[in-house]
Amino acid sequence: MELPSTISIASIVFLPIVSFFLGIIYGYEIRKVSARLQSRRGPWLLVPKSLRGTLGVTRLFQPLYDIIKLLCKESLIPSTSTKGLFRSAPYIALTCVIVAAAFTPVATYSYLASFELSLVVILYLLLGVPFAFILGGAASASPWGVVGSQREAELMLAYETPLVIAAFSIATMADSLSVQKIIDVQATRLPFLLLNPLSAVAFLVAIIGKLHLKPFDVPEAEVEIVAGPATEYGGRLLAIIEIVKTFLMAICVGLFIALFLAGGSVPGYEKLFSIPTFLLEGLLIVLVMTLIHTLNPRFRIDQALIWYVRVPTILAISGLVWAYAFRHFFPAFI
Amino acid sequence: MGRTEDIINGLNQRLGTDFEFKAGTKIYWFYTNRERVREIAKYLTGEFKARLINVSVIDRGLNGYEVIYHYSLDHLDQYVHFNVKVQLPPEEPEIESISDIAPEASWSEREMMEFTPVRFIDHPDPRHLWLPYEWPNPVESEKCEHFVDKNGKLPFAPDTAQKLERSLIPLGPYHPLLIEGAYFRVKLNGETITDVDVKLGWNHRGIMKLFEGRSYSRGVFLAERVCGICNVAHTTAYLNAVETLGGIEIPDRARYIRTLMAELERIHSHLLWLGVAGDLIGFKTLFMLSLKAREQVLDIFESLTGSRRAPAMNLIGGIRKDVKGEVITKTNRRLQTMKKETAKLIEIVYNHPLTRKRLQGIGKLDLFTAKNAGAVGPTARASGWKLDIRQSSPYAAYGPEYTTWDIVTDEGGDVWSRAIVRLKEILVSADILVQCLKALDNNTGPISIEAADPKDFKFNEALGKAEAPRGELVYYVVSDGSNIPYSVRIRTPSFRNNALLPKLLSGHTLADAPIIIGSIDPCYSCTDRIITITDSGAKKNSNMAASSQFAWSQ
Repeated sequence: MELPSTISIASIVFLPIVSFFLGIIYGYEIRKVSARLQSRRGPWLLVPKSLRGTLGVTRLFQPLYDIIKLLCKESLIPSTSTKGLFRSAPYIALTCVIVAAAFTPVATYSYLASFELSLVVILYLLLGVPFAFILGGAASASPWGVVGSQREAELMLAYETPLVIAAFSIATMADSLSVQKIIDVQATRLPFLLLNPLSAVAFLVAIIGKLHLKPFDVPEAEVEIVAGPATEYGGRLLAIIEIVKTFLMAICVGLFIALFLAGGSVPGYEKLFSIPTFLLEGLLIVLVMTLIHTLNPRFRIDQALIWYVRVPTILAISGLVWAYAFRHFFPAFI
Repeated sequence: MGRTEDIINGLNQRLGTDFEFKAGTKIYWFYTNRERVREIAKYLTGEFKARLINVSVIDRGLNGYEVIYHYSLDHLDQYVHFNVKVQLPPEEPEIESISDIAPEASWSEREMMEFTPVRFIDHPDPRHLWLPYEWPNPVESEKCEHFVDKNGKLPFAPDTAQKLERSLIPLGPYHPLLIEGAYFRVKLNGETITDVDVKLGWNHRGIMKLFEGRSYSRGVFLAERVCGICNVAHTTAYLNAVETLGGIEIPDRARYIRTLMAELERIHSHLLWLGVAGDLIGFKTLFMLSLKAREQVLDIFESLTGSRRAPAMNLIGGIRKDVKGEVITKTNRRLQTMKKETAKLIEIVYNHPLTRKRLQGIGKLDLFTAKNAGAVGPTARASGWKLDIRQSSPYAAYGPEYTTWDIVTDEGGDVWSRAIVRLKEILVSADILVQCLKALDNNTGPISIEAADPKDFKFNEALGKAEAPRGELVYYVVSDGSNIPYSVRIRTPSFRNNALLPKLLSGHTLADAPIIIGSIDPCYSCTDRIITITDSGAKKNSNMAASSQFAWSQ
């Protein structure tokens, strides 16, 4: 690995910002699509002329405005909480996602993704987010936070297994743990979505659990445990949590595109052309997740665990077996 | 009427001179003394399967207190009720509790102990219903007997949670689970609920006392404001009582319009319930869609009465405003839209694998427990009990001479059954509505008659019942010949069904708690009375009232 150039360093700084805004757009899409499906209006994409004076031209960045509003508010620290841990947990999660965002390629481009073990690094950093939430919930000394942390821990075990197995099966097929290498393998041949659809489905279901979308939003089930680990958070700290979730959305979707859709690259075209493809694919994946989110009630935690073992884990293992078989029968692929 | 005669003869033989009997129109009043109360309770509930619907106490001033036990047999013989009355001297207002014989009496007795100085001796759980535990008990005394539980611990002290091995979770009083104030203290072992303690009393407004200062016609408005969702049922039940007092027979057109209002209200309430139930299992889309379907019903309300809720249609002797002409066609059309949307909702609930998974097999209530604990309404019907006041004591236009319809029951007894019963009831109600609209379109006539002067009332006390969307609603109105009621006692359906909650909840997971609580469609504005505790650890007592020992440190 040669020394990074100035442009590469700039890209490392720049990539998380792009990721964040992608996350905001995905967040908007979830809100808008689910609102339309529920016979509601949702935030305007194009505000009618009569309201533009107060609302602006578009409310595309509504999730961002919400975060800004929270940032302007004071955060209260419960007197019974373990204060240091309670305060630092959101920042630990934020650090994890910012670094992970720098590793995740946006439209095939990321300097750090070409690092040999970048896939492992991303998966590890993503694991840091639920860990930080669990710590924060437990440190809040609220019964809701504790129950939420407990559920988060249980659910994490359930979704991480298919996630890691599915990612590993792709790494097996591409014969590399570097995300950039995986993208390059697909860009010259076929996307892994077609070569290994089992792993793709398992991965998608796993990231739905990771993003706490229905039917897997058990750690945040509001009628049962208020907001789970985030119950006692408010103001700035809650804003940090929201930022983390925004990042997480962009990273998970970006990782899916990188692993299964060649990072948005289109064979035979310039690298620049992958930007609209990447966006389109991202919006499509979020649309699928939104449909699942809107059309389902919530699982009970035990049902969610059993379901994760029964369906995505089995799928992911089949995908892994398929990956080995593929390598055995088509050794010339790589 | 063989059964009724049997009961009266049997009581005459057993009680002899301790017994006096006055017949009403299938509602019988007995006068006895306090030593005989338990015997009568055993006789009526044991041998004749009577339901104890309420225990009322009337303060007669210098003449002491009157305790009235309302037994209902209308689930067996239409309209038949037995009311057992006991006169207590003012200097020693004590009577033995019958809560161990008829568990339904438990809360009514506790309620009355708080309202009046009457003491029900040997009550298994004589704690306060509405007042905080810290208030002296009895209220007149200065001692706080039940300030601490038997282990010397504060029953609701916040710091006990930290000392317990198992976690304590407060569901309420302000929690996303319920819009209204209710406090479920849930003891958890992991995610499993091992114990539930329910404390209500956040909405108590003393509305029963307010009735005593208003004329009969103003009482209608007050009854309408007991509950925001089932206000037509409340006015109907109140007017059933007042019209029985005055011997008023309302005209047929008024009967149909009252039924129209009550059934519209049932549809709106059940659709709202479906939405809330959807929200409780995390199904926001179902919530939005069912509220959209409910909007049709509210529009019908608005076009018929001018108000989306609280139509204020019922008056003594009839109704306020006629339903005729073009509005009937429009209503029919809106009903069709509503029916179509509801059919879609029913399809979603029936066919969605996850709603089935979340609703089936939880919160089971078997028929025996339902009868024993006195479940009412859809909760009872979902356990296979064919109990519907619209057929057991027909009022308004529910009798077979006006409309034809069937009671919806289901055998399952779980949350799923309760959902199914409510969904089917929406369709049955829509059917009744169509019949009412047809009858209104084809006939003409007066919509109300002159109300009788309270001085000329035929009776001095009456029971009025109605089937609210949540179940049997009972009003007991006492007149002393003046222009204001002497006393009014209300027993709401949620009051009964809430009693079942601790039983339904224990053994299930915390994730199921919201939907189980929601499955009885609790209305705390109506209820606001209960505190019940079960101890699932050591004692499994079928008697709800007796299971009051709440051993936190077991």
